[in-house]
Amino acid sequence: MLRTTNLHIGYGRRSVQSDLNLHANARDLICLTGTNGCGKSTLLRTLAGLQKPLKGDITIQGKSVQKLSNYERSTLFSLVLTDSIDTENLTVHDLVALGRFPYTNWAGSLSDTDEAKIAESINQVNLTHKTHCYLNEISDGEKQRAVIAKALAQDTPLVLLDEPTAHLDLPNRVEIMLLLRRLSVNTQKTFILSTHELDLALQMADKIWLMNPNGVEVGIPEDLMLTGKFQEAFGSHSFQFDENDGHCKINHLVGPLHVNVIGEKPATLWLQRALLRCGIQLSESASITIEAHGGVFRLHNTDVHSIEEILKILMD
Amino acid sequence: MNTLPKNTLLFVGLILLTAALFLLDIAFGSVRLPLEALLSDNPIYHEIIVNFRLPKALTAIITGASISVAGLLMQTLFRNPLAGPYVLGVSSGASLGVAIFLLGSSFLPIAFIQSGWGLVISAILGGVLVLLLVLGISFRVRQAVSLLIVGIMFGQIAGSLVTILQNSSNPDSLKLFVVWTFGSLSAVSWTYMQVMLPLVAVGLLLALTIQKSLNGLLLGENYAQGLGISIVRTRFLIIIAVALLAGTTTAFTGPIAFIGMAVPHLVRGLFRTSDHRITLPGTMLCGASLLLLCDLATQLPADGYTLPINAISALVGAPIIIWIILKKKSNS
Repeated sequence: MLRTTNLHIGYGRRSVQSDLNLHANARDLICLTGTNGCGKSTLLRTLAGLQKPLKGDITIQGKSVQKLSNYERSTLFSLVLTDSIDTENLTVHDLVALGRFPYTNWAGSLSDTDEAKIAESINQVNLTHKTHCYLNEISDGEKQRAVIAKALAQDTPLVLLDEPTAHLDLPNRVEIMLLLRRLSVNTQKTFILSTHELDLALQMADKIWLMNPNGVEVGIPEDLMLTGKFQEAFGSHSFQFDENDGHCKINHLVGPLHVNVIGEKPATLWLQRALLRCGIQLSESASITIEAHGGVFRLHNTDVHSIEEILKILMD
Repeated sequence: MNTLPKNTLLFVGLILLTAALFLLDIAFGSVRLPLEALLSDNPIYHEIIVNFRLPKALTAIITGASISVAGLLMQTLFRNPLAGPYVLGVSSGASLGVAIFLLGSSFLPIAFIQSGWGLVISAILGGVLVLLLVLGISFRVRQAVSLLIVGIMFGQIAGSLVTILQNSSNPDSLKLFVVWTFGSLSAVSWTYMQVMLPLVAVGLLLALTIQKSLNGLLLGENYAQGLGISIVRTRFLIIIAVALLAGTTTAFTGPIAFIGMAVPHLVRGLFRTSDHRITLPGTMLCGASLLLLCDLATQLPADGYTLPINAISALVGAPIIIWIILKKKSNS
């Protein structure tokens, strides 16, 4: 489907990444992730043809992208970028209709096929009820879905998305990722998206392109996790990835105080979290013991009703 | 795109408005004519109407439509609501041409100066020179915003040169130059019209043929490129169209402020769309009506005396822009 051979990317003489040999298959949902400045956007922009590769080749369905005309490229790639669309007086329908651009005549008039495709795309992102709303009247999450609908209407085998979940709140971030997951299954398209949402990427991606300054690690999320590649790429002294569930855990500053926590979950879990956050270490041999039982905490033989109160007592 | 009946009504209304203003503009002028004069065969009336009023009203329509479309093209290219037909330095370049011509005219043969064509040609040369510079740079810069700044800078340079020339010129030619900067719709005779009309027509046609790419540009240059639009080519065509529209009209009528910036906003607000299939013809009609209206306003003082069109257009256009900005603020 999409393949890069010895691809060097960068700006002018400054190479950001070199010798990239990547490939993507149909129906893949690929998350491109890595620290800021390692070249995620540059790679996406290069794949999208918005900038030229410094060296190497990108082929899609066996054809070299550099040799394609603008028109041919627009029938193979569609884009969802971080560029804000702040045009006034543009409705969701108008925006999605622009996705039909490569297929309409010189006047840009929409045929019945175009209209059907537009309606289908809007439906796929669950925005049918907002079809005729202006873009400045809908929420950021809906706007992002409208832009994705535009990419779908463009009817390309490949969709490239640059940080599609940036600036969105948690429910919208999850919804966009779920939407892309669903679309990649239903539409047979390949989605390549750059993201900083490690948790979401780990849970949704078919494949991760993990970028660090020295190259790209490719694999399914679980393998990359198991082999510690994530820790390598993102690792710092301030946090680490939990071996059990892959979530990132902050390495808190610790103080001299030790506490032993026993009793029922989930009360103990949240109490442990609060203690760690305040720099109190957990240890079974500690002299202070807190027991959680029936919604009440027992500390120094008195009942305490909230974690906040416990912290207050311990800190004094 | 979905409310065709409403748009059709608006278009019919705008066409009727333009036609009515056109007739009024012919009827009112520095000499008051009775309305029947339009149809009478009195030779004096005939002379006034056919050789003065008619070309002037036509010039108002052509110029109003042209600079407004040029403004629309610039606003779309730069995705900046404050862009206008002159941001690329067209009018400053033309002023420089005219200034060199009028203020430095001691070097030129006298016949050339007196023909009237000299003024037009020097304005065109000045405008085209600046645009060629901007065009050359447009191939080298990636961001439209940088191009905008380059255009403004060239305008500033041309403006400074004009000031230097003014400083060292004699009062008579200075007055001629200042009068040119007032703008005048009545300077276009039928002879000039034969040159102005085809040039402008080509510009308007060019704008209409690239309307699809213009719609793509609404999403910004990156998205436009993703849709298969060649940015460099579209930019080139837009600049050529603006050169033809703004350059030609400035050469013949002098600079006319603010109309080109204000009209596209009015049209987008009126039709509630940014689709160039609607806004291009809408802008032509609206621009034509507004400049006709301005021209009527210049006739307001007593007989035999008219106000400079450039001042009136600024008086009409600038408040429109302020109103738009305030309205936008209250919306968001």
